[in-house]
Amino acid sequence: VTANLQILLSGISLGCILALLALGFVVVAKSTGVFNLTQGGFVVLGAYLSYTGHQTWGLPFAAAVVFSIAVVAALAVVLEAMIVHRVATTNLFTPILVTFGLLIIIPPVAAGIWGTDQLSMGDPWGLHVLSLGGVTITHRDLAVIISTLIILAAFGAFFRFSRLGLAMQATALDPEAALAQGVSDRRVHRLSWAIAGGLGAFAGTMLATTAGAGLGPGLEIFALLALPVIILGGVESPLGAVVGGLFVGIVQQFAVVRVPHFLGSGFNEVVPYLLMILIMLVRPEGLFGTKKVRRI
Amino acid sequence: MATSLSPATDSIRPAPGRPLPALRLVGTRGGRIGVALFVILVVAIPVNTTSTYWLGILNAAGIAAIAAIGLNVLTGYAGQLSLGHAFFVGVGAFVAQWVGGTHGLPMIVWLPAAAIVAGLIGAAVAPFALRLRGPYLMIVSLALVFIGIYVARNLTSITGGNEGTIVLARATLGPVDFEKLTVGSLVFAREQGLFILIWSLVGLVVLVVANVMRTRGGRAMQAVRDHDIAAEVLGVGMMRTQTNAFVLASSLGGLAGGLLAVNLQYIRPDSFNVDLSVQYLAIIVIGGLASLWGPVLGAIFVTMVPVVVDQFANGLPFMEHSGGRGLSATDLSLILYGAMIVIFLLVEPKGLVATLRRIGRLIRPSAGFPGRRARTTHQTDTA
Repeated sequence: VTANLQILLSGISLGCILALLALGFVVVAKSTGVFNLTQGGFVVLGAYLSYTGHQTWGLPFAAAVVFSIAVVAALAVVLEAMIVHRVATTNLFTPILVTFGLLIIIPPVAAGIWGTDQLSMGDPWGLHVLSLGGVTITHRDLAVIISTLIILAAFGAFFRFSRLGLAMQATALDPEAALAQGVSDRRVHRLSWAIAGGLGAFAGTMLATTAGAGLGPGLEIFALLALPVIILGGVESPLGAVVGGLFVGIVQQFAVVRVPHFLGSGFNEVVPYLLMILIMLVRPEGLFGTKKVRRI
Repeated sequence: MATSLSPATDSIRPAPGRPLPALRLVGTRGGRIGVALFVILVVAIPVNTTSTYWLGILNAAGIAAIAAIGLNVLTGYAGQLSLGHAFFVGVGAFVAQWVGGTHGLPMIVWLPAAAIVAGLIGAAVAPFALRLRGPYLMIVSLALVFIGIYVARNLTSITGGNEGTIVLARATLGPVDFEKLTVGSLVFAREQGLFILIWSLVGLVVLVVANVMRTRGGRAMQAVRDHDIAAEVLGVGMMRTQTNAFVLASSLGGLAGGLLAVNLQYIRPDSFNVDLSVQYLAIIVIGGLASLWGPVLGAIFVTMVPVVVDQFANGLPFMEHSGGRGLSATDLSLILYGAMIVIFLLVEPKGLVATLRRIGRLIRPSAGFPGRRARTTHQTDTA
């Protein structure tokens, strides 16, 4: 039982990161209708910028994370304003392909700037653990879970109570009606990209602090794991993103440890995708998605 | 695929007063001249090019073109975005080696086998994948690539596992061995023979796809792309149409995979990853979605990118030099792919094909294609 609880806890920690990643996708998809693949690039950039802030410039870890979130959010706004906004309403494919093109560019640029070696984030939490009745949880996992909860709470409050948050919800619901009420769709689009960029940067940094793994090429492949998550939860459902993230994180963590040998190597890497396919067979619109009624 | 060459005549009803168009592979005089020219080029280029380096590049481009034509059927004509094309190319490659190499069967068996097995797997996957549209299909197809690599790594008896396998399948057609082509006293290099094989197949595939797109099934694909529900209301079976597109696309991917295996002579599961899918997607976007020659142009263009990067990389200041920090040539190629996808979508959404057409119109403003009105009044897409 203790061992299982242990796996569950690290699964929750991984799930929190996936949830934040997926949330970044969902915010953009919901308020702008664009399926933003560049999110994977934000993860990579965010992680490397935190590294630069913390390790190269010697900033405290928290300050480095804030710096990286700010830079990536700003970059996301610039990309939206200069490139993606122009094609956002054309059709379904063009924005996906454009954000995809941007996604391809970012990791090699990062490799060019920071090199291809494995870099270490420098163990911001050391190896401290908290023991609760036989179950140990690292401070790092604890920090991930707590900061995710804080971010989610801030997220909920922002959308429920702030004027801009309500404007974003209105735009998501009916872009034209929101425009008629004086909501600037430009502002909403850019804000949603900024949020996505910030979430991506944070999630990327947290991914790079995973014990044992460092910061290196291939981080964007990890970010792709958010794709099955959002499919599980439904592309336009923030709640789905969180639940889907936790679900995938926990299942994958169990798969790492508990999968029988005969399934071969690398099974845990495909688990999220297999889960996604299973769910899609039953509910193509995702667990929390809504079926769209469309006009001819 | 043989059936698609002869479209069902009873499904084409001519409008009153208009004769039924003659059913043949190449409809116009211009088309027939084009085919003749293509045949001449396919033989003339390898015979007159002594540089095996450039022929090798053109061979790679030709294989990429076949795969991209397949993806173009699915994405360009049928409107389904797929990141899973590398999976079908991989299936084709390993089937070719298994049938042609392990079992030693001739090319007339292994090349169709590669296409058919990939097509069958496509048919098996299609019902699941096509319940979804837009981004959903893209993500599920992405899953296909990851699952495919996982399966291939663990199927050591066929794929050689992580290390991959040497390809023993031979490109022979009866007495003709394309890898050791000899005509009389002329002995051709391996690249020269393969060039003839690969580019003949490119021509054949273009011809087949061009004609499939003129049939009821092909038009149905485009109708579903333009508005699925409207098409269904008009009596187009959406599921069936999209499955057709999916199967045609994956079998062309398999065909390309078989050729790729022979051309590379060594394949491993990890080669058929997301990056390869990206390359095919870049090819059709850059060449021109839903155009016949777009994938071919795009394939040549995209295959040239790493070559050009290799040639000029040493002169660039931000490149990696002797192990130091900086961009590697592969990374620079990836950056260029991405940038070109973005730039083409923003500036020239119809791709290189549209650029060429525009250049052609600049040179001869009044000229059109034979039998077609000059498109000088149609200025909206050039603005």
